[in-house]
Parts: sequence; C-alpha cells; structure tokens
Amino acid sequence: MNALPNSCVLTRRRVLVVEDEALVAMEFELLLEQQGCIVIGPAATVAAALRLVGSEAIDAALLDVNLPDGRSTPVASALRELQVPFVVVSGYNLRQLDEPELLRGAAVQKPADHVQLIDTLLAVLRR
Amino acid sequence: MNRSSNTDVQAEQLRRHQKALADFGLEAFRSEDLDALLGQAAHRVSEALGVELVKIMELLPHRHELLIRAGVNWRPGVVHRVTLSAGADSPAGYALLHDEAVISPDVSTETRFPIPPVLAEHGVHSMVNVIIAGDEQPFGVLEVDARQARHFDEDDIAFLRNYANLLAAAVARLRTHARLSEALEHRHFLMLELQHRVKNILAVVQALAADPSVEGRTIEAFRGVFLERLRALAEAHGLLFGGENAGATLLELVEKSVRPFRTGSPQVFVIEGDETSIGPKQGLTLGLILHELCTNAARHGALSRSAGHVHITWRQQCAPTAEIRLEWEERGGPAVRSPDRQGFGTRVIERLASHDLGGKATLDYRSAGLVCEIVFPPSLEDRP
Repeated sequence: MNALPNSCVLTRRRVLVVEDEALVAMEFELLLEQQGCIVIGPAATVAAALRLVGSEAIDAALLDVNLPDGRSTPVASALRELQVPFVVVSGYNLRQLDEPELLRGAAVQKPADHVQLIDTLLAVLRR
Repeated sequence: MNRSSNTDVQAEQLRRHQKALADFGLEAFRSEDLDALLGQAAHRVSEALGVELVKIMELLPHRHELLIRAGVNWRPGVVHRVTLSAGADSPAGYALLHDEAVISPDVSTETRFPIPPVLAEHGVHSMVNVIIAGDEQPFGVLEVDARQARHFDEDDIAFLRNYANLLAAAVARLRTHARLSEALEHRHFLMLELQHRVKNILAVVQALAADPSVEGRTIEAFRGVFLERLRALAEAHGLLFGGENAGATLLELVEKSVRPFRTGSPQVFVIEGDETSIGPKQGLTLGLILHELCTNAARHGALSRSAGHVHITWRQQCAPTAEIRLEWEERGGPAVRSPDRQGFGTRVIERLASHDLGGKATLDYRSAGLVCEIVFPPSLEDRP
C-alpha cells in the first residue's frame, strides 16, 4: 500500500460512514480518524443514515450500497439535496445497477484500497 | 349466379385466405409483442372472411374464464376487459370442452349454450369458434361473429383452423422467449449478487487484517490472531451457507464456534438453549463474537486454567419482540479484574452486537469470571 496523503483538507471534516459490516465500518472509522476527520455514525441502515443526515452537520459521506433495509439510494438523494459530496464504496460494479442517483457520486470498489479511498474523498471535497 | 362465376368466387376466396395466412405467418415469426400480434391477427381474419367482428380470447390460468385479449370493431371497454365463462355455458367455453370448432349459423335458435350479453349487444347473428392450441392447455379461442346471416363453409373453417394453429405456434414462441429472457435476467441478478458477496467477504477479511490492536506485536503473533479469526469466519460461513437454505440453529453455530477451544475435558463448555434459528448474516456476526470471547478466555480467562469452564445459555423471548438473549459466563478461571483500557476484542464484540445484530453486548468483569450478555432481535432474513 502506498503512503497515505497527509492533507489538511480532511482535518476536522465531518464524514458520515454508512456501512453495515461492523468490522469494515471500524476500519473506515480508524482510517478517517487518522486523517483528522470526525466520523459521523457509522450507520448500519438506510433509516439510521437518513436520521444522521437530517440531524448532523456533514461535509462528505462514504456510502455502502446494500444495507439490511434496502439500497442506500435515498441517502444519496438526501445528500445531493444538501449538496454534500459522497463516495460510494461497494462490491457492486455500479454501472450494472440501475441506480442513477448512486452514479452521481464517486465510486471505490470493495475491498477498498485505503489510499484510493482517501484520494477519492479528497477529490469530491475539492470539487 | 352461373357455375363458372361461382367457381371464380370460390377461387378468389381461397386466394384471399392463402394470402392472409402467408402474410400472418411472417408476422407471427417476427413479432416480439403478443398483444400487437393478436390484434393484427384479428384484423386480418376480419378482412379475409369479410366479417366485421373478430375476437381472440385467452384462457386465464387457474381460472375458468376467457379474457377477450384482442379484437376488431368491438365497442370500447370490451377488449382486455370482458371475460366469458370457460365452461359449457358460453360458445367459446363449449368449443374448448368439446375440443372442436363450433359453428352457430343463427344464434337466436342456438340451444347448446346461452349467448353472452356482449354478443347480443353487438347484434351478432352467426358465429364460429375455433380453438387455439397450447402447451399444457389451450391458449384460448378464436371467434368470428357476423352481424348478418352467414353460412360458414368448410373452406372458412379450414382457414380458421389453419390460422388458429399459426397463432398457437406464435404464442408458444413468444412465451418461450419470455421465459428465456426471465431466466437470463435471473442469471444476471445472481452474478451481480455473487460478485457483491465475494467482495463483501473480502472487505471483512481486509478489515480483520487492518486490526489496529496488533500494532507493535510480532508478525507471528499477528499471523496467529488473523488466521484464527479467518478460520472462525470460514467455519461459520460453511455452516450458514453450506446447506440448501442459508442459516442455521443457534446451537449448531455455538457448537461450531467453540469446537477449536474444546481442548481437554469435554465439560469445558456447558451449552444450553432453546431451539432458535438464526439468519446467515447474524450467524457470521455471532461466530466472530464467540470467537473473540473464546480467544479472550483462552488467553486471560476461564479457558486458561484446567478447572475453568464456560456456560453458554440462551433464550428466545415470545413474540412480538422475539428477542434472543445469549449469556456467556466464565467460571473457575483466574481472579478477574476489569481491564484498564478497552481492548480491541471487547470493542469488536460491542460493535458487532450493536452494528450488525442491531442489539447490545454487555461485558461484566465479575471477580468469579467474565459474564457477557448479548441481546438481539431475530433475523429479518428468516421471516417468511
């Protein structure tokens, strides 16, 4: 794995993590905290994620696609309305899913490469 | 009318029939849309026979009814709406039951069956019904309704039967086509799901490898912890996805999870609980939790002493919560003191229980031994 970028862009950024696998969520949480982010969540369900989107200040989000209560499309819509950028982190090839809302985000394949994940997060935050 | 002109009329009629059959044969071969095809067929039959009203009725599966699926010159609200009995009490039903073409030269003198209101309403005088065959049961009936007295001769009937057979072949082709597309779509769906599952599992494995608690330990120590966790995940996966139906009972899962730690006396684990089924996702999570508890006990708790043992018990509450309460109780180990800092193992257990199970894990470091209680709702995946 290459060295992680050390960027002030991420410092104190509030990043929502939506991921239903606890271990993967913990991995992302640790990675984001090492970059100076404040992690919101992690949310394991669409319902929990929507509650957080409605109640917390959020600068960016990492979105898993398949959650126990459905796909994360409603979360993507809610984030788009608030103009919050997001990165879809999924095992799916997004072009094979009929989910245009999710295609609006940047995408990183699972298992996620840490450097690529942080780079992509930086890219959507700079947009 | 003299004899030769009569022959001319017959020849002209045959030519019209042949042309209608030939034209429709090609359409039937090319068409992708059953409704358009049936509509076209009704139209061509009407033209070829010079009869105003034609309809094609579909025998509805599992129902004793025929739906008017296509037709020409019917008032709005008939096609795709009106159904007729598929029993002996309708002309089409009568044809189906007797498995032959049924001709009614004058419906006012018809005694074999009553005339449906929709025919009376359109002033039908003469009619023919021929069967459109199908795989297991007929597709339905082709009916020609004349408003004037009309003598349907043998040529007309032969034409209609040929036409109905062409239709039957076209319907069978389109239905097979639809089934194949469905199967292909399902295969595509399964491929996507498989791809997704594999990547998800790899993501979990990566998360296990990224465990921060091993930082600063030797590579050998890390490898031991990692491989044991990986094996626990694989064992649970094998149990939960190995059968025809995904899932297992809680007893099966507990037995499988503690087996590697059943060294020495068989009484090391006392396992008791209700007959409780768990879903595949729940099972994987519980497998990892039990593995963490076993590892901790082997390193610092009851399983580190020969006299130590662990009681694992559970109970499922009645509906509506149907909550499952599992208790892990260690006895006979070294005196316990609460850990100074929360280890990764403990955090993993708590997070797995809250995040993946939608429940709660409570770890109580009693002096006699660790007691861990895990409460979680039943799996949504298992509900019918």
